[in-house]
Amino acid sequence: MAKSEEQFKLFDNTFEPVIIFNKKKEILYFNHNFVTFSKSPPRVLKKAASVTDVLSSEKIQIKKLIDSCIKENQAVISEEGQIQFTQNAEAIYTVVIKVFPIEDNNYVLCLNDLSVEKNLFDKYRDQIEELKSTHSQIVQADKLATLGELTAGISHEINNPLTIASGNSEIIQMILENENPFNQKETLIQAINDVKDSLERIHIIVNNMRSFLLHKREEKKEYCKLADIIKTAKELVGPSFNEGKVMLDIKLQDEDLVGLVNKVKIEQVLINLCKNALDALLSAQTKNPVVTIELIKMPKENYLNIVVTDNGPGIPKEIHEDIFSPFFTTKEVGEGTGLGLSICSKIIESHQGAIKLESEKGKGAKFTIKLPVIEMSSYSQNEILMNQKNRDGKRILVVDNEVQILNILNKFIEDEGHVFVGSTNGQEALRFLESIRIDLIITDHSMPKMNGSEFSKKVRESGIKCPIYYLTSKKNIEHFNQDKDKYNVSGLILKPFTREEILETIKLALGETN
Amino acid sequence: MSKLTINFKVVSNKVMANFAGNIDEDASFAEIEKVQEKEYVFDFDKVNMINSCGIREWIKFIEKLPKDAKIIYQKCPQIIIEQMNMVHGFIRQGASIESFYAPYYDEDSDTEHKILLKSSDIKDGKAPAVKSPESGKEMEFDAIEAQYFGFLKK
Repeated sequence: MAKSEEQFKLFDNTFEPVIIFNKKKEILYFNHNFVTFSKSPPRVLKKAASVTDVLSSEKIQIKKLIDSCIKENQAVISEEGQIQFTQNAEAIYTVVIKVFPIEDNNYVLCLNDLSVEKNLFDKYRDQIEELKSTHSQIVQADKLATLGELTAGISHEINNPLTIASGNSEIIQMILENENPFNQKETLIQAINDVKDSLERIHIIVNNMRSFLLHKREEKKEYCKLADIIKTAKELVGPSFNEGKVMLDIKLQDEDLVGLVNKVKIEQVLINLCKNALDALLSAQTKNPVVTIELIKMPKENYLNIVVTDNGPGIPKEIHEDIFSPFFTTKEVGEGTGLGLSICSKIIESHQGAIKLESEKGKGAKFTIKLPVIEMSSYSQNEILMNQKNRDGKRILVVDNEVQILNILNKFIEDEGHVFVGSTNGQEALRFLESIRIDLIITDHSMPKMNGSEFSKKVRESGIKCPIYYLTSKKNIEHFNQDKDKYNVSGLILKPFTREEILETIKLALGETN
Repeated sequence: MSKLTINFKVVSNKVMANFAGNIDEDASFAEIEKVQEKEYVFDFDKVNMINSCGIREWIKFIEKLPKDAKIIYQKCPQIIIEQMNMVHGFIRQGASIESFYAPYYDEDSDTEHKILLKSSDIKDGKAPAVKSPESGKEMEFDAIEAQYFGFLKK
């Protein structure tokens, strides 16, 4: 046996299928595993005129890969792709191909088989999609059940303005039937206004119900004022509280606190918590029953807290661990699905938050929802998305107290493959900058707690050198002129802006850092 | 893709099992491993495919059988033989292969055949002579003997 063939036999000990060929691509040797893997009998492999006659691929350019290895005389590795063997064309394998030179102008083509991993990945991805869809159906079913339980109260709430509208329309009719209706012009105007107000009230109730039930984009998170979400939840559960003569109070430390959340899902959590509290208060016949929803942000904390408290019978400590488990309920059979708190917990987890219960028997219950501040949640959400897409984008911090502006810029910047970090407040943005490196800052100038000039000053004082752009209206151009040299503000984006203007500016700005 | 099915019966302390379908990550041996007997006869005639996850499941399964049990493998298709040759642990200590399929090629009719052989048919690592059912002529063994019969040395 020739010396080279003796050496080639060493490849019989490897787990990878290997084929050895010369500069003319003639097959010199194939290892045991190549025969097994390709399901090609040795007699077929021996007859093949060239290595490229044995296997083929639509995605991997095998011939080009081999030519490149021969020309450069160095190892080349393909991208992942599917291949077939001529002898066994029905079977498709997912592989990475490596070709490398060995002694005497010979070359080795080696296959790294990823078929099992690829199949498992596809299979489990499909199963996870199925689970997600089932979960979303359960969430929707819970919403229907919750709303169903609230219907009596809501009907009552609609009936009140309906009665007012109906009564006033009769008054209008009576006045118009008089010979000179305009003698009662003021009464007429008052009646029309009452009808309008009543219809407006019904419109709000119906709209809230509809948006709660028919919200399509279940996973979409947006920058939202949490106070607005709390108020909408109160609108939806309010009628049931009125009917049960239970007080529902809201205390907002700051009306402008913003979260990166799925509005309807957070509403669903609050409605569930309020509804549970209401049921507990009614069944225990608590005196002076009251439920409070508070919105609190502690200074220097990375979380926003929404706290739902009641003065009801409380929850015994021994069931605290079970209360967030699916199908756990303390209600009578048929009164609750046992899914409400489990769904609440999952929803809050999907916001990178946490939900905590503090309660003792006879001392009321307190549920605290902790949601990350927007700087943290927008950063982590977009960083994850970018990693999933394997893109090497830049981190862009946008500071603006208008949530609509953050939502628009988030869309533009995320679509472009960058990590968008939103902030509504310069102080919070500065805290975030202490720990995370940012490539570009775009800041509004007119903001209530800290304006753009103060923010830029602090950024530069902390030694951050990335470009800063002002995002402001024409009337504030003078601030840019004052600050551009003082704080090294690189440019200005005028409101209103277009997508193209924003992207062009970002491209230029990021060019500065390269 | 057909899920693995296992039909088995127990006769006089002997478990006789027929495997059919794919031995992969979904393969479950939960039922058969509950039966603890002195002897097992595994028939692989209808196994279509085995992958690395299936091998892992298989090894876990045979490790759960009684340590002193006698295990016989029958009618092993080529894919099972190839795994036996590559993976340590696929055949447990003390297990034996009674029969298996081997690839043969008839040059005259250009046809491939899988011939059921007994382990005792293999002498000195050489494939036995087999005549083609089509041409009646002696067929060529269609694999590398040293590699294909490697499992007999284990």
